[in-house]
Amino acid sequence: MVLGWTQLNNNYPGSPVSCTNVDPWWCWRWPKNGSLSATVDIYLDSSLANANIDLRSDVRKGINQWHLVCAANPILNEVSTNVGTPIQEYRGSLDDPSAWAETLVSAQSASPHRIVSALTRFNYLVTWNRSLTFDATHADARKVATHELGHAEGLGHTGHSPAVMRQGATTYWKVQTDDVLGMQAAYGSC
Amino acid sequence: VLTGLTRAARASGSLIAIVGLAAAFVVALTVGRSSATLTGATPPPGQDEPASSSVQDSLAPTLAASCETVGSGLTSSISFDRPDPTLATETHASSAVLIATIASFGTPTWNTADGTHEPLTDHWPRDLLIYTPVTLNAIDAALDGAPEGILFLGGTIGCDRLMVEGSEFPSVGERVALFLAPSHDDRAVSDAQHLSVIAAWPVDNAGNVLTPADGIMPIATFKTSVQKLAQ
Repeated sequence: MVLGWTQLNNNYPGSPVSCTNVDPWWCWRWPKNGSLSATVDIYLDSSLANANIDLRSDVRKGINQWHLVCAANPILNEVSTNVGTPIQEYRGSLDDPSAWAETLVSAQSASPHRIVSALTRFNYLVTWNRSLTFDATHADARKVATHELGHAEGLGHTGHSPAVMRQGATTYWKVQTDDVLGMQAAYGSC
Repeated sequence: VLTGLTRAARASGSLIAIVGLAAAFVVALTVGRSSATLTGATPPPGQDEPASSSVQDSLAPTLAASCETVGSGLTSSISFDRPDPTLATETHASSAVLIATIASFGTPTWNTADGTHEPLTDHWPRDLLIYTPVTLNAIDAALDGAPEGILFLGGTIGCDRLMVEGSEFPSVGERVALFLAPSHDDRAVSDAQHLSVIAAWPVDNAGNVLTPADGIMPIATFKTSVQKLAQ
């Protein structure tokens, strides 16, 4: 089983895939006439080492990065907050403790595969930083937030560098040219 | 349900995060609520028309033609940001590592108490997942033995399907190195003898494991390395 949308960015730059004449999975996107908002549900456990790290500001940085691509792109521009009780299990992913974060994007199975929801979770065992330091248990919150919000926009991973949609450690956290090309392929020119 | 294996894994220290790997922050995006209005991202002409792609068919699990009706099912995809998967990271996250041949895939089920769920129309519930059981042949254990059952995260049920980026299902008959861990999703398994696949790396005809970050590795070397890393 292969997730096709990874091909979107993997074909950039150089041989862009056009989403104008086919509607494969890697071209799925949010509907053009909707409106989006984000709710950040925060589950903090004071026993955790990184409980004092407030990822909301990093999520907002990520939002701003995608707005720089196109102010009218289908990404949220508001973060509201719900503070919940701590949850004890990270349900809903591979049983792999080394992931920094995950995003689950849901779309209509029928063409044209419009996205209906996106959910990003940050692994709270990760110690977050803003110094572009990455290893199994440390990650830059700005890069991971921007990366995951790119998934929420409908982008997949890219094999190119530089790109914030490149999986893993990077030396930057802001949206790069490859990311812009991916967005343009999915949504057209801004 | 997370009983014997979970406790055993915890006790051995081989699994960091069965319970307690939690999401500190959950960001949910929804359509139709206030905030940004989509005004400038107009898809090219014809974009909203149903279309087909032979590439698409080769990449994703097949859906019935009836699933082309809007509202008749959802497809979800999980993507991760994570360090490069090395032999060390995958071994440390696993309670069992096997070299085996894929014999068959079973019937996918929802991770609900009875394995069933109503077809989805416009919303994929937060913790709802699909697991697909797999049967193995020619099992060669690199670390611990083969569990009673092995599950892949993902699969297709009716017009609903779940995909995991970078975690392709191997083909039936393919020989693979499987990294297995107890599921932290206690609704996914009917007993504690099931493990879920966290990584599946291909084995070529010459008997080499094709690792994503550690190069091509003969099976004997692979097994030795796994056993050393697990100590």
